[in-house]
Amino acid sequence: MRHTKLLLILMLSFSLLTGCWDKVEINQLAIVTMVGMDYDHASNRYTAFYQVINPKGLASNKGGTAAPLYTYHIKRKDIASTHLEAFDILPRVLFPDHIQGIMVSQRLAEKGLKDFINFIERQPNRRSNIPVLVTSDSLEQAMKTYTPLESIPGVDLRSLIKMQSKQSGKVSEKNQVLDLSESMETGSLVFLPMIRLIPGGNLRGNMEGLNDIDANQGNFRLDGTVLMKYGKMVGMLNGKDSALLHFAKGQSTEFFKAVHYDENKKVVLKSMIKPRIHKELVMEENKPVMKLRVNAALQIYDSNANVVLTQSTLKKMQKAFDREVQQNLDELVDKSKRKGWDLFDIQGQLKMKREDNWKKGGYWRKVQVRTEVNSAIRNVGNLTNPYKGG
Amino acid sequence: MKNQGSPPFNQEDFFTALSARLGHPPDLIKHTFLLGEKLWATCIFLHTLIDVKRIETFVFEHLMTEQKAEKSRQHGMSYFQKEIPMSDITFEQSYKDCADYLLLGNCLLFINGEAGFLVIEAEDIPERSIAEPQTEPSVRGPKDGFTENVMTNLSLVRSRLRTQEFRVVKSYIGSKSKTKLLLCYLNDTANMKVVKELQDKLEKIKIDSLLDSAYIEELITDKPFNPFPVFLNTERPDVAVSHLTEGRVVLLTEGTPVCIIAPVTFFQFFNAVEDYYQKAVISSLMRMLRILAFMLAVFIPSLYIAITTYHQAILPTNLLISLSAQREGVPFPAFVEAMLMMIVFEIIREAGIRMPRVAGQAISIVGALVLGQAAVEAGLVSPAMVIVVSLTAISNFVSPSYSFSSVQRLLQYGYMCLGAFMGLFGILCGVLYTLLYLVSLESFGTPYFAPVTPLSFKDLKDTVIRVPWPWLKKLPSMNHLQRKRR
Amino acid sequence: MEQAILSRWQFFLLTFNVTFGTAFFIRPGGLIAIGKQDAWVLPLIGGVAGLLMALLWLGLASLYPQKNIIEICRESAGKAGIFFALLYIWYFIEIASWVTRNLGDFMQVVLMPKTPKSVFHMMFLLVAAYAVIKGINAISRLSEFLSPIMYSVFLFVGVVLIRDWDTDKVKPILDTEIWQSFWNSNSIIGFPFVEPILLLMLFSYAPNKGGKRIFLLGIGLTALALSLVVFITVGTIGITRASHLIYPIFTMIQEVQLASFIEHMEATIIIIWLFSIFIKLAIALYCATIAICHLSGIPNRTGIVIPLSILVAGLALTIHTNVIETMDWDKNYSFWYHIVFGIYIPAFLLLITFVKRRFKKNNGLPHGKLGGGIRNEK
Repeated sequence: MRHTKLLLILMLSFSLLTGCWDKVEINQLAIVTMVGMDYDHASNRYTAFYQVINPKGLASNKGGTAAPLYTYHIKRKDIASTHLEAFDILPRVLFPDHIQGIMVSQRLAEKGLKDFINFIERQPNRRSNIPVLVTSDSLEQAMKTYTPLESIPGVDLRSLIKMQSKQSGKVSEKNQVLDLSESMETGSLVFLPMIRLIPGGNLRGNMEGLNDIDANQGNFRLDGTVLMKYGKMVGMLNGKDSALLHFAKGQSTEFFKAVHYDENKKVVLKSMIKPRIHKELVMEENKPVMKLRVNAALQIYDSNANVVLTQSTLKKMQKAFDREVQQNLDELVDKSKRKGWDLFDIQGQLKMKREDNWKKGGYWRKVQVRTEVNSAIRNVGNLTNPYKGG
Repeated sequence: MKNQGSPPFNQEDFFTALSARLGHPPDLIKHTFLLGEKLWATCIFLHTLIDVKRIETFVFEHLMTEQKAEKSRQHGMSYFQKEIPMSDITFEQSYKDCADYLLLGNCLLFINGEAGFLVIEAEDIPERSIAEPQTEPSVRGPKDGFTENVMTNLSLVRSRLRTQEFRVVKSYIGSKSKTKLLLCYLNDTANMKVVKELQDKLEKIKIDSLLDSAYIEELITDKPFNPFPVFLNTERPDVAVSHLTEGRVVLLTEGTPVCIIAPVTFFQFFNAVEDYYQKAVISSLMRMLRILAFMLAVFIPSLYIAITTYHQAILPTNLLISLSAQREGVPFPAFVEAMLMMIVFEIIREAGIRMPRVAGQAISIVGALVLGQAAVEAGLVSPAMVIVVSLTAISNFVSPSYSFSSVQRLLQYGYMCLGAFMGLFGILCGVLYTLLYLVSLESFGTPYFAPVTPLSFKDLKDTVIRVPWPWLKKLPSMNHLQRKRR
Repeated sequence: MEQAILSRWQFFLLTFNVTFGTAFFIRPGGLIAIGKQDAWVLPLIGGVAGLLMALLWLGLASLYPQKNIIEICRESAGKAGIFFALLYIWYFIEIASWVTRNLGDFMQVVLMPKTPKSVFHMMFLLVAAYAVIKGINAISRLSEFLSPIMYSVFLFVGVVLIRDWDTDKVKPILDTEIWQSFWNSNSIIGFPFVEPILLLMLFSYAPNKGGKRIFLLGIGLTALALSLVVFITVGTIGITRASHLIYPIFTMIQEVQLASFIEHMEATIIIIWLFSIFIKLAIALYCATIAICHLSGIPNRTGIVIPLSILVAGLALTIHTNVIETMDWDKNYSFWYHIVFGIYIPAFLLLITFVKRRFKKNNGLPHGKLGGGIRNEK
């Protein structure tokens, strides 16, 4: 018995020698921080860009000698081979777990991201909670841009998006791969941030621009959102509209609006917390109507008029805010109807209805949106009355 | 010996034979003195084992009067037994154990013409004075520690435990060393099964010399390869007494200040003596800290290997990048690097223990500066690995029990190999194996992982946390004691 | 055989771990694909069915106190009972190999794609065989030690997921054809609710008081817990994604973001979840082993469990070629296969026992010796 045991243990320890299949040393990894995907109709080819970190360069970046990252690109007929054949040029193991963002070109977005999304979701080591960005400029140039302050462009873009969605609501928080795949079957809209390039030094793909104090040169800029439906780009919204939209959907906290409440009297109002949203689907005179009520708590951010703040002025301001926002919203509703975009996610509301007749396909187009805005100024800032001065 | 048996025989021959039996040692003293007229007495003893002064005062000086010689003629040996002003005197008639009596520190008194002899206990072994225990210092609490003299130790225990129920059983173990063992327990509390089992096992011990209580630990276990200690050991009388009152059995051993205590559970190795002298909240936190340190010591190197070679995805991006940059250019795989550093550390540590104190500083300078810094600068190891190894080393020292910290090291290396083989999954298998081993281990009938499993809520009050004394009214139930309340 | 009495808590944990063990990460995806936003009802219905089955087993067991299922088979059906006993042994072995296979599939898909499955199988089976050698006490103590850790991690994940919770995703509640979806997902009765029949091997170690109630409680709570898992999955990652992913739970934790530094914690959590797979495997292997011990009369577990685990390792590799095949089998045949062991055989044994006891009473034979009746039946 003793010998059997010994033999067993020996055999098992031999099996340890067979090796470590998944083992890879940390310095053999090509840590990808951003992936770009482009599609060229003419040649019918996908181009994948991999922005790979050079850890040593990043660590010694203070001296500014070595490049913190390198961008590889592979042009192949299908998406899988752009990944599989990356080893033609990559001397290290592709490590996609830490991708910070995915950037696609506008032409690919217009063609549809279905295949790409499916590919990402199938790979367990590719996370789906990373933002997808669309650029209307050259993807190649975008992938070869160094960013100031945040030396990794992926991180730079990600925090840019995060700040934007928190601060101004111009970008939706729901801009990730998982939102796209979620919408693949529901048909609701997904709002992806649009990236544009400011021409300048860094775009040249070397680091000289980083030594220039002008951070505006050769940098990324968020510019509105791209609307995706079933994984396909259907249109664009400018920053102002999308900020309003996300505010009205209760997704963003901060929303600025300059309103005129008397002649020449302008006040900038800012919402303090996420507005409370009431959505309700009702039948009015045999017509389906979605009532959208926005209750906002506001703060005075800036005011140009020399007025003493009184209850009545505040009321005026609130009313002006309600009126103007509602007006803008109605314009947005019109636009939505005109272009056939389900901006206010009527389909999502319809889905929650129990009666079957609400659930017919395309029924949402018949639904009218009626908006209502109620606001209250809760905070006037640190100043009751402005200084007079000249 | 030839002349065993009945008196009177030629005493001179007997003395010579006795001396020859011991090989005519230089410390064997045979002193013949005149009691009275024609009445000779002979004292034999090993002067290295006994207090010669007392013999001189209370035997020689005291007996050398004519009056007493006269009386002894009338009453025989039994008169001396009463007359000598020493406490432990027995009258023996069998001569065959004489040599053993001498070796156990007795003085033998013969009177010419009389049958039998007196065995006068006057043992006095050079001993060091009671000092603060080196291995278990405490900031607050008693400062005395056990010494090598078992009777001194017993007196330290007794002075703290003045109950009638305190029982001490004496036995000698070792065919050559004849080491004195004292088995102590409380008659009304201790689990008598444990006492019985221990006694049985002690009786079965066959060994020539027993120099430390560690021998017993290994001699009476059923699993000789079990690396986990099933005895608690301590040099502190207060710890021994606290365990006695909780119904455990304490074994005091001659010749070592370390006593052993059974039964013991896994979680008791995280209890330091000071836990009971500090506020309950503080000591609970300290215990959690110790458990954390234990986990760190056991898992940090293996987790580092597993994560950096298999599961890089776990790391936050910035950490991943900086680790990756650090490892750039390191020639060895992480596992070899870790093994190398750990073994180097073990060498430094062993050297630190074995070196004479005076040279100790040199070791730390060489270890810290030359090996640590230079290895990193030369690019042999990554700075992160140095951090990992030193964190492990420091955590290793937190364990209050030395025997337990050695097991930690064993586990460390095992998990490191498994982590290098299969990443976290390998470590998981190792952990499951260890846990299975631990939960099926028992220390004299008490499950090793009690009271966590088998779960007993009442006993949890003094395990990972310690509740204040007023709440600790019950004795631990996991030990199956005779009493439930304190 | 071993001498052991498990505490109630230990027995409960064994039941719960056997039932909940692997089901929680395998079941939700399929259930959500069928039941949509009301998928959380399905485990509840399945649980009720499971409880009814459990009552059947308990009824059988109470006719033979202190006997395990193998002994019950032999005592009730005599020689033919050996056939049933062999069937059960096969079933236990099969459960063990399913569990092993689930582990391999899961590990390979989510954590270590290049490592061959058999390596995971062998390493886990090795430790499980060690657990079997150590005995039921060690297994139940291990589960007692690990379960609190495991389930507090569950709880932690649940709390963290509140951030991503969206009530709209589970609305409208109870709007689908639940009975229809239940019939489509009837395999949930088989897996996991027939599997606690394993515990019928362990009833002789059950606590003296309330063992049966605890058994039922374990099954009932599993149903609730599964339902909760499904509910949370639907509410956080939504129907669309959950029904497309093989392991939605994995994806769910993969996307958990507590703070920027607690982002990629899936590997850690998965490793902790493997505890539950291990406990289930150890119990299945243990039950198969002692079942063989009982039938063959060999008291030495070590000699049986080692070849048995090699068999299980082999079966686990060949039982299905991939996850899709497993899913297909599950959808089409699993229900019918499982209820053979969960309902048909126990009901048959119960019937025989009733008939036989009746018969014996009429004959005025002393109660308890059942051996004689069988020959008469023939």
